[in-house]
Amino acid sequence: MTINVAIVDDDESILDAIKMVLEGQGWRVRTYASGEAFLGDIENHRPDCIVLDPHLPGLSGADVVRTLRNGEMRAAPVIGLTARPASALAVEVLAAGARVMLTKPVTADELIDHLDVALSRR
Amino acid sequence: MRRVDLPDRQLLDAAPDAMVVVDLDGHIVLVNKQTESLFGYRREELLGQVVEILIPERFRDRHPARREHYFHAPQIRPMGQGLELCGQRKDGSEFPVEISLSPVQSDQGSFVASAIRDVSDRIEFSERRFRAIFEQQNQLTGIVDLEGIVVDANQRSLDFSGLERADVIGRPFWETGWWTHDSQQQAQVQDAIRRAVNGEIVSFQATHRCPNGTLATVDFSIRPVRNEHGKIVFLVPESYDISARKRAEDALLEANENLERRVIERIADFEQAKDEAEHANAGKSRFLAAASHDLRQPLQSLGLYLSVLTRQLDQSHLLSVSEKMRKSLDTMGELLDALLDISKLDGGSIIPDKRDVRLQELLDRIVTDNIQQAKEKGLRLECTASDYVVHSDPGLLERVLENFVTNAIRYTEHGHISIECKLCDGVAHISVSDTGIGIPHDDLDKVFEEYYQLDNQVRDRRKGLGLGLSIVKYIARLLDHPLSVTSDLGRGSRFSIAVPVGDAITVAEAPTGRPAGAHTRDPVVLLIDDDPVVVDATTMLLESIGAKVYSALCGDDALVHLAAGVRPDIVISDYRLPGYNGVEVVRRVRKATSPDLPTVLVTGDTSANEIKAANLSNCTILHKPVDTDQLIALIENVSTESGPSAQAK
Repeated sequence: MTINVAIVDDDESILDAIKMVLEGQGWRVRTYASGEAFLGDIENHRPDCIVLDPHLPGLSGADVVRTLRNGEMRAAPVIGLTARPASALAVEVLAAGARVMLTKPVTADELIDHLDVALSRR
Repeated sequence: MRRVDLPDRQLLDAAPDAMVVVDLDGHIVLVNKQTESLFGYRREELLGQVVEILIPERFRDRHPARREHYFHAPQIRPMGQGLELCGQRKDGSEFPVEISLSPVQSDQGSFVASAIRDVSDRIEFSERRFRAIFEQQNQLTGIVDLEGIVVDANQRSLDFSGLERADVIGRPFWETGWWTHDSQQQAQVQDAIRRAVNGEIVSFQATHRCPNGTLATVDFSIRPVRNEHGKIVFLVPESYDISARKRAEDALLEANENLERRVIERIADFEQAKDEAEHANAGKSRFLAAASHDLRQPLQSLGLYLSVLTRQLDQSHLLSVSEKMRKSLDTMGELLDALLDISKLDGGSIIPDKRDVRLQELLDRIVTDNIQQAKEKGLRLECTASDYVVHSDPGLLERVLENFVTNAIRYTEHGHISIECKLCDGVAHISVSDTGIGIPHDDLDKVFEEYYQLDNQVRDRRKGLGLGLSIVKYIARLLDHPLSVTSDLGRGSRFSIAVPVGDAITVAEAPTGRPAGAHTRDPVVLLIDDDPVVVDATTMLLESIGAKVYSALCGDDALVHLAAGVRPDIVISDYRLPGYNGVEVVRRVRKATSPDLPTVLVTGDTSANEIKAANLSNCTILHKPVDTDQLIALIENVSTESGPSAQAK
């Protein structure tokens, strides 16, 4: 069964790089530049796991996680990925239910390891 | 009284002085030839006249009384002691005389014989001498009689106020042009004359009007002059022009005031500059922090792209290129970490927690962490055993020494690195020396500067970050531990830090590190914050590491938990709370629990100093946004170090 991963980040190169890494794993990846775009597409593309930057334009990362938790996708694990792990927004995303908060830069192997763990605990 | 006959006229004519004999009524009965030539009268004109004809008119009124006074107790004596006596010639001219009186008794009755000598020559000499002194005086001076009438004034005094002799001589001193510009001073002068007549020397600062209309400041004095019998005979007023001195004094005073004002202005300028510099520095720290965060984004993408690329490479020479790119990216990541560290150290968000630390435990950790790298380069890493206890923040001190050691390994190709500690005057000098490339003498004082290494041609730019030693510098400054470096180019370097010695007894009771096998259990946290979102988020975070969290929205709620039997291992409180602030909450919580209850106070930028001022022991201040790793580390530390706590629930 193919694994669907959603990546939400406002940095285009991050989206692109992660997509390439994860597609290299044989996973199906969809990228979103905002929380609104992600939530708007969630019915079409039901992700098994979400990689999320807490700092987003518009809806914050925490808003996205809370919306997710209140909907059908409550079980999909969220992995935070941030350049500012000490920020309130990062803490809020954790508090809202993210599985873990990774600090940029992470290596491809670290990211895949964390996703593997999250997916195995689904 | 002797009885003699009136002398013969011929005999009288032979006498050198003018001789005038008067009867008891003052009528002239006899004169000699010298009298005629001295006074310009013929004998017939004088005989039968009262003697006052020979006296200047202004003295005539008072003379008869004096004459009669003499007749009542006649004796041979000089006349008018202490007074300048004047005769008046027939033509009205006056001349100074000396007169000696003798009573004469004859058949015709009682008479008084006066011998009168013209002393013009003598007076002229002494007058000249007096004038010479009088006029040479730098000050303004004159003579005033006991009635306050001006008798004389020197030319300088007249010129000073543009006055003529006639303006002042014979006039009351206080009504002269020196004083008329100021009625208050006139009264003062009048009073001074009165006091001087009674023997007092009076002086005060005054002003005289100058011909150009300006007022000159003078030191004025008036003193009595006494004759040889101690009787006051006249007064000498003097004024000394102190305008120049006064101007100098005023100028000096003004200069002083100016200087004072300028100093105050300069201090204000400095303070403003300091504020601006601090503001700029804070801005720089914020910029560094923001830059290090933002730079992580492209670094992240680069790393991921590289890993994608690497997986698709099968040619070994391309793999080595990608490996080099990986190392460069790692270095960049370290550089960003260092930047963030500096921004934290410089921004004041790291507060050292100094305590007594067993140095050996700390050195052992450093050796353990670095021995492998040293071995890989074929270097010996030696550490001389040390029993010392030092007083410092163990974490920060360890970073300094760790930095010394990694630098030493980095810049040493052969030989060894040794860690030593020497005690001197209660200070432990911990040093790390190497047998590496060394540092040129001229550069020694620059090694702790940021980016020193990047500008340095001798050191290899690919090695190290150039920020390590500046982090060391910031930490050493924060800890107040002086740094030093010595080096012999091509032979090696020695970096030292001087740390005060601590108390071995204290350290025995307070282990510094996490001892192996320490009891670990889930920590109990008392969390106080008035923002429910923050409370929820923090609670979830702490529960994720196994902590038991009791939360409260204000201090009173926290005390309710305590009343219910909750015994926290640590209290985490926001500083700004409704009711009483975080410091007060902590004080009350500690009162109910333990005076040293580990504490974390969370604050925005503004209240850190207020918390520091409260001087709470065992208290860590965290700035918003809270570094979650730091918070978790604090909680975990508490759960390791503290014993099991009693808990009702």
